[in-house]
Amino acid sequence: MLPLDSSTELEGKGRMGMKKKKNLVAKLRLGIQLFFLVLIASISLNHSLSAYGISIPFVGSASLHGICPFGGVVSIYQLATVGSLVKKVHEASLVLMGIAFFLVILVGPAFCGWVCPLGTVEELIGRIGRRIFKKKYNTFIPAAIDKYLRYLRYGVLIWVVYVTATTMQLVFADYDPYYALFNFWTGEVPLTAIVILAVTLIGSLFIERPFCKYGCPYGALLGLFNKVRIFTIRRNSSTCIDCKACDRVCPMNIQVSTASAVRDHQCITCLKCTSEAACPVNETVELMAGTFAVKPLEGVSMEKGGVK
Amino acid sequence: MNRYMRSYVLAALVIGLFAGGILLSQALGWWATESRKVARKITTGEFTGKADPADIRGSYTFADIEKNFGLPVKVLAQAFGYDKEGDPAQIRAKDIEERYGEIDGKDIGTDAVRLFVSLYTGIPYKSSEENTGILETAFRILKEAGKITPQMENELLPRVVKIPGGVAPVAQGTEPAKATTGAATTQKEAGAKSPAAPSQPPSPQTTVTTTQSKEGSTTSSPEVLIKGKTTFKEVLAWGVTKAQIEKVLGRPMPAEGTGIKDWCTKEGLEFGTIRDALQKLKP
Repeated sequence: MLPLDSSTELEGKGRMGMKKKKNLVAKLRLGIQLFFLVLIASISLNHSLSAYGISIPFVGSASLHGICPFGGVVSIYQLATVGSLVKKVHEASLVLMGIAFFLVILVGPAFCGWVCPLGTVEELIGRIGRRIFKKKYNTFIPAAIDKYLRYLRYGVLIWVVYVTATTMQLVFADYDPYYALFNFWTGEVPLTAIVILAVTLIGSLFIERPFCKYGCPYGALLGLFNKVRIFTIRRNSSTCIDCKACDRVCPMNIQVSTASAVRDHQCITCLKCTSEAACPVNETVELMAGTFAVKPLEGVSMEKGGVK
Repeated sequence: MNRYMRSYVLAALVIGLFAGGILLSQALGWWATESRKVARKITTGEFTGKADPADIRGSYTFADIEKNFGLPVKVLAQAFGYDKEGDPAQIRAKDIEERYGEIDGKDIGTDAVRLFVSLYTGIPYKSSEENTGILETAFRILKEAGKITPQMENELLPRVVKIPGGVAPVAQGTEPAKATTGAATTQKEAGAKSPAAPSQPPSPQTTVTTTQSKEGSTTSSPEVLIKGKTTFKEVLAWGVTKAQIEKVLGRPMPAEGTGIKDWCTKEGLEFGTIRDALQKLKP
């Protein structure tokens, strides 16, 4: 790691075009997030409208349960033991589950960071929170408590899988803020799900992605793949200037600046921390397979003897 | 060695994987966002591998039942009084519930179909609903086809009901006009479509629940009953509060005009169970 005072020149070079770079990555991700948000909202709306014989052109119509990859996950036990899917879950869920698993093995939970519409809505509301609370935003929960709360979602995951397997019913539907978000107008959403959605949306004003961090069972499952993913976020300690820009932008409060590889179960592969975005030094925080090649720094000899 | 993945590559990967995966699964016939109507299989005992009658849902058509259980559409149509229909293969289990609902205190609906399928195929099924009935036409078919023993016959007799004739059961009380319309529709259907129904003219003015008992006598009941088409609004009109209804439902009550049965189907709940619980709320 380079000390801050000796990196002024490097930092200055790195900052050239930083705004442009940062905006490009942010806009690209936001564009894809909005695409999936609009797509899912349209499919759900179309499903409701179909009861009245109306449909939005060029958009499919399906119950959200039928196209949720987590539906595939909770159906696995029933599929293996009884040979059928849980009620309301259809084959499309299994297909999406397969795609999401392939993606997560390759690049980690990019589904959470780039696709999940609920995560997108949480982020959009978070923008308001960030404006209100500025640097205080996303730091309200003390780290000592927060680190334990992050494991709550594994409890939710175990509970959901267990009760779905034993009851053969889509029990989580009664608590699912994702389903509530895209069906609140139908009058079919249980009060519990509406309350959880409201808490999530209000919570997003204070905490970035609160449901993703503390409650999402699917995020919990995908998060486990951060330990084994092929392309991971790596930090090159030999070029890092320890500015902690990566830490500050991480929506999941991961300390990227102290890790050589981000294996934290909460990483959502948003790329905010990378040298394409927040990191001011090129090729220092990267989504990559393998490890950084050891390059000699300018003025530093790799020969025995050290600095020339 | 290092291989960086840039954000635009990741973006293309995400879009490409989802679009490609969905298109591929569609091409392979794996993509389905609606039920394929494949009943789950029994996994233990003598009937391992057989389709489970318990998994017959309201949306299953006679054709779906034939596909799953090998029980011919023709037999189902005769059993449930649809043998004069243009295309009985498309009749759904929930259509039966809508047509007959409760007769003489017995439910003729999806669970009655499960029971009939079980008795006809010999695949065991234990109904969780005490009031499930069996139409006389269905009973006759089971008897004639030798599907039931004399002992089973005796056990089934209390469940046997005749297809309603002159006056069909009707939800009524607070909204007589609506209720009588429903009754007229039911009578029309029963009279016109069912071969077993006597050809008595419907009586659209009646507001009294009248059914023909299995002995052939006519009984009358002034009770307000929840039927296939009864809405939450009608239950509220009894003087029952929304909170009481929600306690039974275990979740928020939908729009007042929503049909209770439709809502139960959508929510994956047993209509019979909810109906019985709501019925008990009547002051």
